[in-house]
Amino acid sequence: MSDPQAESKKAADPLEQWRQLRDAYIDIWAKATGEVVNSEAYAEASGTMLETYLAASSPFRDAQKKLMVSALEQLNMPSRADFVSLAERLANLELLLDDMDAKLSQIYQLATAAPPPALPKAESEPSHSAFKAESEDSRHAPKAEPEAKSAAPRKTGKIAKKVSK
Amino acid sequence: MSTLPVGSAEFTAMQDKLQTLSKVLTTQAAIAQTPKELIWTLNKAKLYRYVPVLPKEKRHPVPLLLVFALMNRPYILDLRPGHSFVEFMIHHGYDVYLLDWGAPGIEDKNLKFDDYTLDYMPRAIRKLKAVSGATEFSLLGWCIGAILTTIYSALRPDDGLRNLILLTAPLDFSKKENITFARWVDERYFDVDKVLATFGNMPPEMIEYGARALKPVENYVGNYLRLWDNLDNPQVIQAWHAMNTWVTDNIPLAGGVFRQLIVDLYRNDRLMQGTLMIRGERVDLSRLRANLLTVIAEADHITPPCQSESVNSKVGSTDKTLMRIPGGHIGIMAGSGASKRTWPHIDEWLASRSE
Repeated sequence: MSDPQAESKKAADPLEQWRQLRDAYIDIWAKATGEVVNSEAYAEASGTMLETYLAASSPFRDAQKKLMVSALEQLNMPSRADFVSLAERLANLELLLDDMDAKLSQIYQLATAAPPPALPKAESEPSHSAFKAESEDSRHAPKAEPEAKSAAPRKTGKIAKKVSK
Repeated sequence: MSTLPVGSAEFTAMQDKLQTLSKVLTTQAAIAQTPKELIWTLNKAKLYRYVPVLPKEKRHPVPLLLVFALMNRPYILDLRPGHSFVEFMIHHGYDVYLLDWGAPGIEDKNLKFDDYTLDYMPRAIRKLKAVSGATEFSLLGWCIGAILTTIYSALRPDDGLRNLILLTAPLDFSKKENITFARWVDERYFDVDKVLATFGNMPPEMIEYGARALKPVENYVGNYLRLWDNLDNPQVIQAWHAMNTWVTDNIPLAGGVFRQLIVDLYRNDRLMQGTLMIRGERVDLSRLRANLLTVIAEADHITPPCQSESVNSKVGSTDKTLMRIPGGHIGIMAGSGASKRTWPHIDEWLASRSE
């Protein structure tokens, strides 16, 4: 429901007619430009502009890059490429750590959930069931495991088995 | 008592308007206010858990993971208090998690859909399950986040995904005549390799320009006129300020993903054709079996409805729903009408499937 006070204020506003005219003009303008940007000609023109910009700026950029690399080398400072390679190695380490963290959490859960061994005969049972629980758990666990396996060090699996044993 | 000179009231009003205008255009609005805790990180990605407001017995047992696009900040899902999808969902009893991809650096320029869907998502979900104690979960993917969640769901159908919600999902690229972006990135006009060789990642300025240039008059003129016309309306100003903060806060898109997006999807429609390969595995949508809700924004100019309409017929899910909501790409979830037109429908669909 519209506010009568606002409506009367709007009607008394001398600029209101101008605003309506402006909005109508903008609608027409928007429709026209909408058609333009959606045309093949616009796609071609914007592609040409981008191509021109890349071609014109590329020699300067390349020269600047070479200059910077040699300057850093002279100063015995690491370059961007060195940092990038370091960052990539860190990201890979993070993946491995994440998998190890997940495995350790799983082991901790199994260890804390397992009942205390009372008899020598029963001793093998919990560890066996712990193995079973782990394998069943990994069946329900996200399929990250296969990917994680490929990324994770094989050692984590061995550690898990050793602890369970 | 001295009388004010003629026109001083108008002058003061104009001064106030200009102050408001200056503030709105030069400052950042307070956004993403819902309390959350960081529970996992990997490279730039972060997984947050929103602090629940309802006791455990009143919450749905199936947690909800939100996955937003890679080249925008995800706080659009938690824009401002009272106008936040996250806030709405936690008040309706969901255990809500958010996967924030972060801003890729030049060292991440080779990241592809393969890495995001097979390295990052499964690990984040593993953590979500460990923290929540749930074996099943729901996923909500929006825009490119919907591409990621669809690929993940098709590649890992046995990971415990019960419900999948796709919002304005650009999945079908077959009707190129209706997709403006597809025309712009056509191989005759756009050399993706040259762009990436120059920049490494897709620069945020280019992404922002691309999104705005789809509707140049509305975005570069109409938007600011609307602000000017409403400078004395605090509610409109608050909403405009928050949205402008988000719109102008773009991040780069990893070069590898951008290449796949253009070559595999926009140009060759490989996802729908069933020929998209992710780390050697074919993405077969018929393997996606989770309950599926596809939400289409009827006035979406970024992801036209034709890009999301056909996915339901390709998936293997038996429970699937297609929902059409009036509004634009962002407006359906973050606009002033979202709390009435969109969020309750998502809650209604999800609540019965989260028990």
